[in-house]
Amino acid sequence: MAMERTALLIIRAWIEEGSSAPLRAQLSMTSDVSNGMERTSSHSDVADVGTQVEGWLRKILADPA
Amino acid sequence: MLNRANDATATSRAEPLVNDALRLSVMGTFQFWVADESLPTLPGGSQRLLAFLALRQRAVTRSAAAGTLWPDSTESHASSSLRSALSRLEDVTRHAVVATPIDVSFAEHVSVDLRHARTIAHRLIDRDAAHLPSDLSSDAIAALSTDLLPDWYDDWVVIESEDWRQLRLHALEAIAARLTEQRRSGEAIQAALAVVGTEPLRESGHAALIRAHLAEGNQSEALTVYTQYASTLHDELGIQPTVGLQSLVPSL
Repeated sequence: MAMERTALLIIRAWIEEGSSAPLRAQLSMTSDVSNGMERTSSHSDVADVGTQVEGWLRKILADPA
Repeated sequence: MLNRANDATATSRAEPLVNDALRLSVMGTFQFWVADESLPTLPGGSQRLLAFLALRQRAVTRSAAAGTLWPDSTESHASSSLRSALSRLEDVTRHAVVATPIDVSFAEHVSVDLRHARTIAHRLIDRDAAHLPSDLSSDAIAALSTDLLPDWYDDWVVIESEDWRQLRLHALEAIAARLTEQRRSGEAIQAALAVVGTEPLRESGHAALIRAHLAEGNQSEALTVYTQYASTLHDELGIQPTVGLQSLVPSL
């Protein structure tokens, strides 16, 4: 029986008061937690965060366990 | 394992190991200590059970523990896995668990490094709380610089880990501020660097670091910190530091 794979994405988000773009979102993601976190990225734009999440989900779909 | 409901003999047998003889470390890596000796690697199931109970502040019903530790299993299979994990605890580690037919908990006489570090962190963050001299020590800074079980990705660990991360970052900034006030700049810089190393985009960490350098009279170091942060911010996000941070550095 194939082992189930667990993908994980953590978004750490906070606000930097006084900044022209106050959102800070740091993403840590992996398509298989047994490999640890594979990638991190930082963003200040909501749409960019959405794009990263979508890309991560599509990668999981494209590369099923 | 101590059985509160049914086995008074088990409780009395545990007594020689009381008085902080048993310690569990969940910061950095999992280690179970007996006196000053670390036990060889425990089975994964035992580690997860001990860590889960140690992170809880109170007893957890057996069904809740089983459902959390084995979330993908059926209720009966998860309950069976919990019974199995409890039965596989070795002689010494049994003393760390209190099990009743209803619930399971971590034995109060077993110390947990995270609980100690959390107490320090809360004292530091509460400006009205009296802190101990040791709260501002290098040991405290080292403890607050350590992640909780960093390579564990179970849901219950990830949530606790993020909670601890936020708490420790605030506590490290509080240490840096107090040490800067006391003109202990070297240690203040050490604490602020721990924040910046953990979260390179956190502006309050860089502000703490800049203040510590300035308190020591090192404007050039403060400017270097600012410049490097501005560069990171520009490269990563295409934005500038806030006016508030700029105003900290006199030469800007």
